[in-house]
Amino acid sequence: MSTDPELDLWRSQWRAGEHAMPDFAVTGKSVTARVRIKAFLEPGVVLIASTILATWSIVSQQTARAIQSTLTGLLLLQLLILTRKDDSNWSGKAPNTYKFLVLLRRRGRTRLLMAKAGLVLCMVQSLSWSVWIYQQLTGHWTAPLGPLALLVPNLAAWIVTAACMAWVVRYSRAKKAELAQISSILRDFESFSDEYAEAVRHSKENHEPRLAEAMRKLRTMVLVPVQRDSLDWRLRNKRKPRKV
Amino acid sequence: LQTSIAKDVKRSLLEQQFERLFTVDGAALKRLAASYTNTASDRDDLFQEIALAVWRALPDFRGDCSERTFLFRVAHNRGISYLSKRRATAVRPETENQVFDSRPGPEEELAQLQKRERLLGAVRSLPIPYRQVITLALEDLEYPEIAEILGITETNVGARLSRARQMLRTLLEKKI
Repeated sequence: MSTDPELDLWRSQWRAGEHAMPDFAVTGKSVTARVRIKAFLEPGVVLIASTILATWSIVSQQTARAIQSTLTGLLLLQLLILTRKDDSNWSGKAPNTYKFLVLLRRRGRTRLLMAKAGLVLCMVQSLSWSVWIYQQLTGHWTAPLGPLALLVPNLAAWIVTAACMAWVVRYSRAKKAELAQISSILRDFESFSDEYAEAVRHSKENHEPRLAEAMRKLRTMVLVPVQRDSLDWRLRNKRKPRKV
Repeated sequence: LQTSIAKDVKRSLLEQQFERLFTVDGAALKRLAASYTNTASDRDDLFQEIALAVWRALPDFRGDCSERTFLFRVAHNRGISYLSKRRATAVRPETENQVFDSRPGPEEELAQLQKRERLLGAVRSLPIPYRQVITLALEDLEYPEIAEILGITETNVGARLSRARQMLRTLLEKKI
């Protein structure tokens, strides 16, 4: 306990409203339940979407082809969502808040990049399929299915791609806002570091000459007389008799 | 079967450890959550998020530092994540009446709560590096503990705390 009256007063004020806060039943069991619900909800979105798509594909074989076409891109997006960790609040990689923020920023940028890459992949796949159908329509028809059987799943592929695009736009907006917020907090830390570095530098500039002066005086006052008294010093500095 | 029993025992131990941590430092964590948020509902949300983060991180805790250090570090990191995810829309801080109306009490208590709200408001307006240090100092933590939680040197803690106190003093004077 400190004997600082100001800090002690603040401490008493800080704890004054403790009982006014609502009391939560935070127990291991309740949190386990929450973790389970949360864990289900995040990949749950992907699972529900996949189930709907799978049912749809059973209904129509054509749609299954559409899904296959955008599968790689979707897989990348799913990977992005499923591998999303809880920002590792306890990690050896981030020993302090500044490094934790840097880590958050790096992860945020990576996720943003992955989401965009997934979208581009979806688009490229759908586009290449459309180009192939166009070539089939304009040139010699070699496909085993009729034009309608190819065009419908292609349209479905484009719908899936559009849905992905909407999601990525929403996601990237949220992520960019988050990154901006992280950068703003980082600036706080950086400005503090500058301030601290400046204070240390200022202190050194002011104190070092004084210290050097004090040391010089000390040397003259204490060390030199002691040295002069020593036999070794006297022997070394003994004047040689002049040669006549 | 043995694996399942071992798993159950491990989980039960973790639950006990978790409950012990929150019984001892739950109130401090609520106050910490309050310093990162503007409204009571946000504070409660963040408190629950902290509880989740601690629960998730608990199996990875190898006892390299004290449990308290671990708890506060996780809580601060969660607070930072919460701040970064907060919507750009500015949330108006709650007025004092909203808090006090829910619990009518004697005048003295009301005055204490008003002082607390004023202090909390001032702490919230501090930049994060100072806010973190002052909240930990207000929880009666010593310099070495604060340094360990925030991963900075004790000298740095001293420098930050001194600046934070200066800023807090100015803010409180302004509020008066």
